[in-house]
Amino acid sequence: MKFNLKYGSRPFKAIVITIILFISIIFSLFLGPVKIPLPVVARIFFSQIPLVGNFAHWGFTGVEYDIVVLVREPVILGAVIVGAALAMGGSSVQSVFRNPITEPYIIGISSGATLGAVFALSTQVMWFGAYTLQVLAFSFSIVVMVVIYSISFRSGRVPPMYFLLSGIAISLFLSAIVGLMLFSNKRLESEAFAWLLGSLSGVTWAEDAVVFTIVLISGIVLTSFSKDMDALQMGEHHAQSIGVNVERAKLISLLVTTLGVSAAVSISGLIGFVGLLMPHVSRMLFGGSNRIVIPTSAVLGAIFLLLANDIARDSLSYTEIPVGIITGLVGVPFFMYLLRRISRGGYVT
Amino acid sequence: MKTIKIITTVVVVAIVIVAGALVYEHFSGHSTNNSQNSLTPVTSIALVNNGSTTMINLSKANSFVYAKSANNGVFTIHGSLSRIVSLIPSVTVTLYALGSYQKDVKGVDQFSTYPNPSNYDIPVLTIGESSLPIEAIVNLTPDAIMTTTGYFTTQEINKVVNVLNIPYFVFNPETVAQIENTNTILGELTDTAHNATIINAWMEKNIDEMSNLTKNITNESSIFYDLGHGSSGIYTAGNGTFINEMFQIDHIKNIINATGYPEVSRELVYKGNPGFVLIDEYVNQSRFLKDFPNLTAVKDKNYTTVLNDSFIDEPTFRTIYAMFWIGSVVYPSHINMTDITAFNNFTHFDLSPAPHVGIYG
Repeated sequence: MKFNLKYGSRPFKAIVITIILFISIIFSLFLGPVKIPLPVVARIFFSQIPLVGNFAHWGFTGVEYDIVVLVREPVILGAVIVGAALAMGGSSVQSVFRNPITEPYIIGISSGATLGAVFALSTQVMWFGAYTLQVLAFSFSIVVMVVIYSISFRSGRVPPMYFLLSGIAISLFLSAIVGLMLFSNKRLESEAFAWLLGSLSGVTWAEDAVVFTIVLISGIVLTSFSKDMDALQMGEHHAQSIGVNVERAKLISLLVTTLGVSAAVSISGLIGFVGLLMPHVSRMLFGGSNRIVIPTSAVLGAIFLLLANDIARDSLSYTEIPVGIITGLVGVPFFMYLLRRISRGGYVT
Repeated sequence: MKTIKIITTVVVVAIVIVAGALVYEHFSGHSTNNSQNSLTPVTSIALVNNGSTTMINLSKANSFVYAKSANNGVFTIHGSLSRIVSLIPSVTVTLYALGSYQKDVKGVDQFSTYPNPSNYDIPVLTIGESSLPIEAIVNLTPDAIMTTTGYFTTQEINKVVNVLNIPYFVFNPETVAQIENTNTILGELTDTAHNATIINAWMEKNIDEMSNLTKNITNESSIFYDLGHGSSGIYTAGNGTFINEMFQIDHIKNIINATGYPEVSRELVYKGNPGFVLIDEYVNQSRFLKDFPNLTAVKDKNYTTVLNDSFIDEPTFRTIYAMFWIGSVVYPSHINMTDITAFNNFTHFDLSPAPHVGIYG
């Protein structure tokens, strides 16, 4: 493969957004309600690197170390992972359904995860210790997606329209159950509300480790199926005519998407617009091939959520705004702009 | 068949990944410093001081603590707590009365306005709807966070307890006895147990006094407390709450028979036909009057708005003030605010604002 690193080329742009991601990560480390001087943050950061750490383990207090290493870093990494998972999920779902205004939540992930989270809150079960809510949110969203898929399965195939409509119907049904659970236990409203708005503030290294593994596997599998998804984007008949096993490709893409997005949602709650917008930004920058769109939208999603989370963390002193509110505030105007571009034929979806 | 195989494979892979990760975390303790990764409420505290151990039972105050270092259901504290972050006004007020505020409290939430934290250079942490200001808390290096149930997300609490190793106390007294036990427990935890004994004795003395004042009331009045308007009715205080117990001591019958803080329908309020209506300070009085124009209490103007609900809604020793105030507005010919035993004996505590000032704002 020959790389063209000329200004404006795809590899050039890919390198630029990757650099922006790293700069955003470093920038985010310095932000927070507790003001820690830049050199101190830098020393703490380097103190964690094997060997280098031996020369940078001085000049900071235990409290500063805890704030940077145990509070900020897992949240930053969480934002990167969740942003990447949502954006990759959006690319996959938009390709499979040939619909530019879908996002991963449309396939039942959000309603399933919400049901799992609210179930954990209302029953107070501790089957998986402190991570019960996350594990149940993850498991329920996978089960719901499988149920929707099974309901839509007709004569050996799953028509996309059936799947979308079944997804909407099941989601509404589950929302009613969630509403009933919240109604019967008003004390849950505030925690459930926080979960629905999406927040990364409580994310730990342990959660990052689990979700990172799942999202990484999901990303690798999705990218390996990019050719099939490109074909699906042109229509099922076209895909079939060039030898793609359409149903198998759809099933694997949707299941792998569900795995990655469910894992992400389980630690962050529902964060909107990342999965809807970032694949479009990626297509505007890099064209329509999923081989490029999936990894680059992951990077763009990570940058977007990271910066949104920075605003959420730093816009008010001492407290955080749920990041879902920020992505919504930023996302809607951007979405309107995209709609205009799409309606004018500004780029190929 | 192929489809089922694929679905099964993916689901199994997902389960294996999660289970594997959880097992790894549990046994390696790699990223959480051997944390137990669980949020198990602990109700027994062993307070070790000068070689002697005092056992404290938090369940007496309907309370518990999440603590990473708890062993076999017992959380051990050496000495006393001296760096407390109080995120609930009732605990803040009690610590102040105990004389622990200035020496032990290192941060409070924005709702803990009494005493005024700026007078004591105590940082105010802004808590959101359910957002714990973790970074600001860590910066205060607390040895305990004190709050109540239903405030913050499990995920945030887990991070504070298991990752940052800060004990997280949850106080939820629901009866007058549990309020007194909370005073005692907070006193023991902050080495101010003697003051707790004095406050509890004062509470008991006034409860007895109120019982004496109301024992001859033959025509018992009924009451409804409007705590706020929800989506399907009105929130109020029912059975099993200290507010209801306060009504009982006052010899006033609560028209609501449900338990806890239920949202009751308007029909139920009409059916109960209360003799007196108490309206919370954050409820629009005109809205209540608009909703219930034909209620006898409204027609007879037997209603009033509480101008400082912290006396009534927060489970603290200040419940005594509220008890006398409610008694005096419902039975003005039997009970007077001056009937309350003076606080002269407690001049070493600042219990201001005076009860009437507090309640009337």
